[in-house]
Formats: sequence, C-alpha cells, structure tokens
Amino acid sequence: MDPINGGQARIMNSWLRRWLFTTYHKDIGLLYFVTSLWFGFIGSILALLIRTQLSVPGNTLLSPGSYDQAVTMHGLIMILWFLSPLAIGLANYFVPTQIGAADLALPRLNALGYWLYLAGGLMAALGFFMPGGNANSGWTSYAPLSSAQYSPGPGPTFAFAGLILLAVSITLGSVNFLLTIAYLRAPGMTFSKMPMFTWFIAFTMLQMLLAFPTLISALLMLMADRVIGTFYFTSSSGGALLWDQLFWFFGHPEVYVVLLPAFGVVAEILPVFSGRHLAERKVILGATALIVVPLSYLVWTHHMFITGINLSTQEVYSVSTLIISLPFDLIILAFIGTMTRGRISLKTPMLFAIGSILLFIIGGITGVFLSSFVLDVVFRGTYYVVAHFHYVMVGAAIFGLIGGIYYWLPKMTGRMYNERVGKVHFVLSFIGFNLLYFPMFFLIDMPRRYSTYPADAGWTGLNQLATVGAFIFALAQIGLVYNLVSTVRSGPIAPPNPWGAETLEWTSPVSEQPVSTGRDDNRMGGSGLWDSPLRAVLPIGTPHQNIGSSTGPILGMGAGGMPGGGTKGDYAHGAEHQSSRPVSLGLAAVVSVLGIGLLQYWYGLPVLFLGGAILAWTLVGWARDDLHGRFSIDELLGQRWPFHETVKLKLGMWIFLTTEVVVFGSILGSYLFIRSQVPYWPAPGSIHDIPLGLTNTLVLLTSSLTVVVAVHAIREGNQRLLLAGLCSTFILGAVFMGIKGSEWYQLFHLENAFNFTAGLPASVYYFTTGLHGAHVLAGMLVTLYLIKRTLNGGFSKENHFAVENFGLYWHFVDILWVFIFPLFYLI
Amino acid sequence: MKIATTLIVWVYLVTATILEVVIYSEFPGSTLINLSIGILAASKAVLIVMYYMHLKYEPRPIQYLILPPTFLVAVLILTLVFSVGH
Amino acid sequence: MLGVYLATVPPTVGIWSSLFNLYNVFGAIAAILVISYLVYNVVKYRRREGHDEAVEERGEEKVNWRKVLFTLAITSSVLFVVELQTFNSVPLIVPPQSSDPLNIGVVGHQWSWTFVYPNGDRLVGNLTVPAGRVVILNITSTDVTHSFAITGLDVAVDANAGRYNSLWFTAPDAGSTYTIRCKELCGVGHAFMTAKMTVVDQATFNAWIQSTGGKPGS
Ligand code: HEM
Ligand SMILES: [Cu+2]
Ligand SMILES: [Cu+2]
Repeated sequence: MDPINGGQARIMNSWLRRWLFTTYHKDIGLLYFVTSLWFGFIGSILALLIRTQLSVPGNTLLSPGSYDQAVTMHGLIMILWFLSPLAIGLANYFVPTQIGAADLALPRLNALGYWLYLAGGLMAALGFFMPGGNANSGWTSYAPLSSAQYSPGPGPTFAFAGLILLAVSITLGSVNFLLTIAYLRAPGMTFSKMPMFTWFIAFTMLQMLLAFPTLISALLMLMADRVIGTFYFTSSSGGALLWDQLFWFFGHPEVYVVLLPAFGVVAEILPVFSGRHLAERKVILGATALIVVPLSYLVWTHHMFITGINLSTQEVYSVSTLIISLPFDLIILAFIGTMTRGRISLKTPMLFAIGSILLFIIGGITGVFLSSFVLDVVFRGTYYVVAHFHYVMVGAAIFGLIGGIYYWLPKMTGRMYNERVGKVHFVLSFIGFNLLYFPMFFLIDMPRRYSTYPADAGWTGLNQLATVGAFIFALAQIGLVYNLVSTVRSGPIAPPNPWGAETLEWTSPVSEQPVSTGRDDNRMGGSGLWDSPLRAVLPIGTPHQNIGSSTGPILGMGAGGMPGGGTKGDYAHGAEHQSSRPVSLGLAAVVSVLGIGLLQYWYGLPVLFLGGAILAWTLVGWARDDLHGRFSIDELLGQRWPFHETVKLKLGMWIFLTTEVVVFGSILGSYLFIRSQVPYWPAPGSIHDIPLGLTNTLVLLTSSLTVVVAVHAIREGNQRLLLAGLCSTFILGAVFMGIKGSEWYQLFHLENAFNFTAGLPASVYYFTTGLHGAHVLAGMLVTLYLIKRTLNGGFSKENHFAVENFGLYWHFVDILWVFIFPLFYLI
Repeated sequence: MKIATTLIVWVYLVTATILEVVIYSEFPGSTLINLSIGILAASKAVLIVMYYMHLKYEPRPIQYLILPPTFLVAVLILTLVFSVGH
Repeated sequence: MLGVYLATVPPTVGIWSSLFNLYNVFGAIAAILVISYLVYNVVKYRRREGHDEAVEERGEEKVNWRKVLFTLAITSSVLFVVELQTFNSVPLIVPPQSSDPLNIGVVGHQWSWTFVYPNGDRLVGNLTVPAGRVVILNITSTDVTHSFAITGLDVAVDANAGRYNSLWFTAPDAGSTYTIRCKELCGVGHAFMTAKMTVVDQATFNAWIQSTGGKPGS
C-alpha cells in the first residue's frame, strides 16, 4: 500500500472518528459553533430573499407560498438553530473551563444533544425539498393553519418533528449544564466567584429547563393531530387559543433564552475592556435570578392581547410585563456604569458589546410600548413588533454573541484576528442593522408576513430603506467570515491572555485534548487555584500551551492550513472519551422522523421501522457499554454548596423530572382547558371501563411498592430480593400494558368505534394515556437492563444508584397515572 | 425508612383509589365530588413523592426543586381556564 | 379650527394616538437619556494614546443601594404613569354603553371577509356603515385564525373559528373610506385578504339597508 495514502487515510479516519464520536466539551462546543454558523447562513439567505421580495410593491420574485415558507423557516432557523446553539457552543467550550471542570457532567448526553440538534435541523431544512414545500405557518406555527388540513404534506411534518428533536436536545442540555454548574465547580470556585458568562448560562438553562417541555408537549399534540388525526388544535374547543397559550408559555421564556447568554458575554467583555470591575455585580445577578428568570414564565399572554382573552387577563399580564422591564433597567445602567472612570479600549469585542447595549435600549423601550394592551391593538401583527424583536434578538443578542466570538477567538484558536477588519465589520453591521430595522418602527400599519404589498399603501420607501440596510448588514458579515477563516489559517500567534482578563478560562492549561478521561469525576485536581484570593492567581505569566497545536478545532478547515496540526494523531489519548452511541441515536432520530413524515406513502412505515431498529440497536449498545463499564459515570457525592450530600445522578434525575412535570402538566392542562370549553362530554363510565381502570391503577401502585422493596433490598446488600423486586416490577408493568392494550382494543371495536379520530374525548384520551404508556414501556426496558445488571452482580450495598434513579422515574410515572385515572375515568 | 411505612403508604394509596371510585359511583357529577376526588389524587401523589421517592429525606435544595415546575403548571392551567369568558 | 378637527377624529383614534404620544414622549426621553449616558461614558473614558500604560486598580465595589433604589423609583413611576394611562384607555377595547349600536357580524375565511348585516344580508369584501353611529363588529372565522384590522381606525381583533370577538368604532365622516386588512398569517392569500369600508350618512344607510330588505339597525 502506498504509505502516504495509507497515512492520509488514517488521518482522515481518526479525524472522522474524532468529530463523529467525540464527547469532549470543547469539541462539541466547536461542532455547535460551526453548525450554528451554517444555519445562520441558511437563515440569512432566506432573509435576503424576503427583503428582495419586499423591495418593490407587487413583486413576483417569490410566490406567496414560497414567501410564507421563507418567513417561517427564517424565523425558526435563526432563533432555534442559529442564535441559541451559537450560545450553547460558546457555553460548551467555556463554561467548564470557567469553573475549572474537565468536562460537562454527562459527556455522552452532551454529544447526544448536539446530534439531535443537527438531526432536527436537517429535517427542518429537508422540508424545503418536499412536494408542497416546508412549514409555512410562521415561526409561531399558529393552529389550525399548521394542521394537516391547512398545511398538508411531509414538509411541515419534518419541520415540526425536527423542532421536537431540537426541543428534546435543549431540555437534555439544560439538565446537563445545570448539573455541571451545581456539581463540578473546582474547589474554591464559589457562586460568588463564578464568572458572569457561566452565571448567565445557568440562568439561560433555568429558562430552557421549564420552557421547552411545553413546546415538546404542544408539538407532540400537533404531530398527533397531523399524523393520526386527533383534534387538539383543529376543534374550536381547544383550537387556536390552546396553541397560542402553550406556544407562548414556551415562547416568552425563549426570548430571554436567546438574550441572556449575550448579556453574559457583555458582562465579561465590559469590565475587561474598561479596566474596571463589573459595577453592581450583585445587583445584576440578583435582578436576573429573582425577577427576570421567574417572571419570564409569567408574562406570556402579552403575545395574545388581541386573541380574545378577557380584559382582566390582559391587565394582569400587562402589569407583569412592565415589572419585568425593571430589572433590565438596573442591568443596563450597571453595564454602562462599569465604563465610568474606566480606560475604555475600543477593540472589536468591546465595540460589539457597546452596540449590543445600545440596541437593547431601543428594543427594551419599544417592548414597554408593546406591553400596553391598548397600544398593542394596533401594533400586534405589524412591522412594529418585527422591529422590536429584531432590536433585541439581532441587536442585543447577536451583537453580544459576535462580541463573544471576537473575545474568545484567540483562546479557541491560539491566534489573533485582524482588528481592522473587525472594526469595519462592526461599523458596517451597526449602520446596516439600523437602516434595516429602524424604518420598520414606522410601518405601524403594515401587517407582518405580507408576501407583497400594493404601491398605494405608502410603504414602499420604508421597505426599500430596510432592504438596502439588509444588504449592507449581510455584506458586513463577510468581515466575520474573513476573520474566522484567516485567524485560523494565518493569524499571528496570540499572547496567552491578550485582553488581561481575570476569568479562569484564560489561565486554564488549554489544549484540545480531554484533560481527563470520561471515567474520573470530571473535576480538575485540587490545584488550589481558587483557594488563594481571585486576584493573586491571575494571568501573569501562565504558560500558554495553546500555541501552535490548537487550530484543529475549526472543524478541520483543511489539514494543510494548520500550523503544527498535531492534534489529530494525538487525539487517540481521548479514546475513552469517544462514543459512537450519540451519533447513532441521532441517525435513528433522522430515519424515524423521515418515516413518520412519509407515512402517507407506502414506504413510510418501513423507514419508520428501520429507524426503530437503529434506535433499538443503539440503546442495546449503550446499555452494554454501561454493563461493561466502558463509559462509566462516577457516582460521587456532591461537594459543592448547596449539594453536598447529593449524588450527582440523583440530582440529574430530579432536574429531569421537573421537565417531565411540565410536559405532563401542559398536557393535562390542555385536557382541562378543552373540558372547560367543550359543550358536550360523555358521562364517566359510559365509554371507559371503570373496573378495568381501577384494576390497572392498583397494578401500577403495587409496582411502585415492588420498586421500593427492590431499592430497600440492595441498600442492605440483598441481591436476591433486589432481583425479585425488579422482576415483579417488570411483570406488573407488563400487566398494566396488557390491560391498557385490551382497553384500547375494545374501544376501537365499539359499535361507534372510539378510535383516534372519534372526536375530542378520544383525542385527549389516546394521546394522554398513550404518552403515559410510552413512559411505562421505557421504564420496563430500563428494568430489563437493571435485571441483567443484577444478574451480572453489578449492584451492591455501595453501588446501587441506578436502581434508585430508576425508582424515582418509575414512581413519577405512577404519579402521572394517579392523576390520569380520575381525570379520564371518573370525572 | 422502614418497610412498615412503605406498606402503610401502599395501603393508603389503594384505599384512596377505591374511595375515589366509590365517591364517583355513589355521587357522580357534581363539582364538589370532583373536587374531593381531586384532593384524594393529590394526597396520593404527595405521599408517593414524599415516601417512595424519598423526598422527605432529601436535602433541602432537592426538596425545593419540585416547587417551581408545580407552581408554573398551576399558573398555566389557571390562565388557560380563566382567560376566556368572563 | 380645533373643534372641527376634533369632531372628525374617530374616538378610537383619539384614544390610541394620545396614548401613543404619551408613550413616545417618555420613551424618547428615556432612550435619549440612557443612550447619551452610554455614549458619554464611551467618549469620556476612551483610552487615549499615551495613557495606555496607566494601571487601573480593580477594587471590589460595594452595591450602591441608593443608586439602585433611585433608579427603580424613577423607572417605576414612569411606568406607573404610562400604565395608568393604558388602563384609562380601556374604552378603546370595550364598547361604550350606546343606546343604539349597530351590530354587524364579520366572518373571516381564506381569504376574504364576509359582513352579515342585521337584516340578514351578507356582503363579501364590502362593509358599509353609517357615519357617527357606534358600530359593533362581532368577528369570527370559519377556518384558520385571521385578525381583523381597520387601518386608520386603530381597532383590531383576532377572528378565531368557533368563537366570537368584538370591537367597536365610530366613523365620523360620511364619504370617507377605510381599508380592512388581515393581520395574522392565514395562508397564501394573507396579503390580499382586504376589504373596503365605506362610511355613508345615516339616511343613505337606512335607504340602502331597506333596499336590501331589512330594518335598519335592529
Ligand atoms: C423590556 C423588555 C421587553 C418587553 C417589555 C417586551 C415586550 C414584548 C411584548 C408585549 C411583545 C408582544 C407584542 C405583540 O406581539 O404584539 C413582544 C414581542 C416580542 N418580543 Fe419582546 N419584550 C421585551 C424584551 C424582549 C427580548 C429581550 C426579546 C428577545 C431577545 C424579545 C423578543 C420578542 C419577540 C421575538 C417578540 C415577537 C414574537 C412574535 O410575535 O413573533 N423581547 N415583546
Ligand atoms: Cu414576550
Ligand atoms: Cu391573514
């Protein structure tokens, strides 16, 4: 064999293995980073199409149908596949290094999150190529326009399924990040010393944690409507208002999810480039933790002022929206105050940070206008709203994050970017941005999402200004791309801490290698770094190990271009850090979703089965990895306040269960809403067999008892009783599913078949009990794994956390049924 | 936690469930009855969380963890139901 | 001739635009103040050539509670004032207790508006109302969600299938016309889902509605 080619093949091979199988946080961070920029590129193309279409009245460049797809996917892609993931990429890279952790708490889950994100994005993009095109009901996907009746075809189904994958990815990620921040801080890294970026990521994750589950529920119901024909959003009893409520319950926290990471970045940049400490750090943190985060969940109906909700609801939510603008006021003034008496160095990161603050001021103040439910009668659904949220989402959020990119680029690549290009990038972006969005504040009477407009409406001039601004803004981004590429390829070597920053990521020994294996407890050794006062340890003279070996990260921008590109071969060290399971789960997700979207064709079902098979294969593999301790996760007790006595995985399970509470809470809430609206409902006992339901309830309650016995047994080291407990649990679960199945079977064969499409009572019944059944089934699979592991002697008095965690899950599923039974059978 | 406690909880869970069905079949329909069935269900949930899921014996931070989602779900449901009509 | 001007401003427009003006005044002042503060700081404390080496001490700062409370007090009083005015402007949404309102039904569907008059007449794309009278529209949809808005009258509300929402207005000038638009994406015809509203005097309206068979305003 030709030695050179063989060598290249090997390099290629290990390059592929690295990026496909990595679970290392910096690698995943870079994957997010680069992928999100690509999605940003797609979203920008759509945006330019929109602006070109609107540059002249009566334009026919895009048909109304294509235009609707463009606005819809532009919104979805920009918010969910570009903006948030860009922040998640930076968070992946820098949160662990900022708190002195070697990796995230659950590295494989982190990788899984990335692959689900990518899978979802690919599905959403694929929608464009389907007959009938992509989703076209706006990023808000208002029902019933998003239903199968009004947006038929596989395209929208792909997009919504892609959204579900994304939402699952984000929910898992938030559990992971919260666990990491709660649990893996280096010794001495107390909350009061924690860097602002990490703080704001923590806040962001708290928002994601309880907001995205509602989106998951809403989308699952929407998918049920689309695929099996239930009536959640197509009947007038649930319908449009139900979707609005669920969507915005997610949607409003989501806008802060987008904003807060940028605030975190700005809060890092400002003090560094002003040569001062962040002013009123405690006020900023307090205002965000106590008001912004909790209250963000309590303002959502301000998006629904003219949907027909009653006056008192409008008043309450208008006031809560006003209250939430107060903490922002404090934060902004503290940001500005940080610069007072400083030595402000107007480097590119600082310019973007200042731009972000300035644009947020305009966006925030116009937000207060929108919180007036009387003014909103006119604003709602017009370009005024478009202007407002672009000022916050693009102005505040994207400017802030771009500042972060410039700020950390020297750390990520070991090289400096071109300052002059950076400045030009900023100036053009700032001008282009304002030219693009400021005119829209004056288009108060032009409705959003108009595919074109008549010449006599008087909107032409403002639209043309906006279009010119859009092209300036887009062209300015060439500066960013240029800087990214040229920095990686040929930027001058960066000093170890070019900005003189004080946070830990600048001092950490940076290499692209995992600092430790996945096997240890993911914490950097007690270097004592943080035992000394913050200032004493700082940067001066830290050897910068980054230089010369670190440009691999930007996704192999060509092996040749990288100075000393030695990272790839060395990466073998991190082999324990590699797992093929996350990417293969991502593949399973893609194939399954393809199958679901194509169910209307004959080959849909086989594809779905294929997806299921890959899923099963992966899960078995994952379980085998665990059985053989191939990627074991430590089960140490927490050491950081306030979680001293808590096992990491148990804390993780509890955090995860909070998301499940919201998933089922919104599903049961939807049921209650429908019940409160629907004129007729079958009397209890007339459809569902109460004795059967009662029996099933008792079966499930008893299965909880057997789990308690199992946990109890292994705590005392009694493996045989553990086995007995687990086996009885499995059997009881199976009995439950059997009875459930026979109930469904009977209902389907009633005289007036009570099937999926038999009306609202059937819709909510099948959906709710079906999702619950799926949870039981998942629990049973885990029981099988636990039984196998017990047989292998895998549990002991000291080591039994998996059993306990399974117990938590199983009891939770039991509790769900405790509510489902009376709600569906007795009331 | 003792096995005895576990069993007592289980007996309560079973009894409460049967009680729910009895209440339903003796006095179907009225709001008050629905309310009492709801309270029974909630009490069962609380017991499972406290004893089976061990929350009673967990450190404070974990105990508090469950409050925000519960509260938010309550707000969501109240808003859903009371935002339409007068 | 202020009186004449006022007389011809529809009440809903009066309410909305004075509220908007109030918000604009406070909003502009706030924006100018804060942005000036920002720009002032950036310019004043910009690092200049030659001063580059100046070492800056980075002492931990205490929370300046007085400043915080002061900021909160100022902002919340401004917010209080504007919100109070919003609450006072609720009449824009709630129909007045008029002795003699004219009720008209509106049905949105992909992609046109149908108006149902008290006499049972249904007209597509054309709304005719008498000048100077309180008109209440009861709005619904037969398919997806639309949003009914009359440009120039500052009124709007969603049209949801199976539900009725209402809005009210009074158009003062006979002879004037307005454009009705849809403000919620409702499919490919969204941008073209317009209707025309014509204001006529009461006598013409009565004559017109009787010619189509019904009694005026019952
Ligand atoms: C002081 C802070 C803010 C206030 C008082 C505020 C208020 C509002 C209100 C009342 C609306 C509803 C308007 C309507 O639909 O008619 C709205 C829309 C919106 N806001 Fe804000 N907002 C604030 C900050 C933000 C931030 C920080 C973001 C994102 C980073 C944001 C993003 C959005 C988006 C995306 C929409 C429109 C969603 C849509 O209809 O598609 N807002 N805002
Ligand atoms: Cu909002
Ligand atoms: Cu429309």
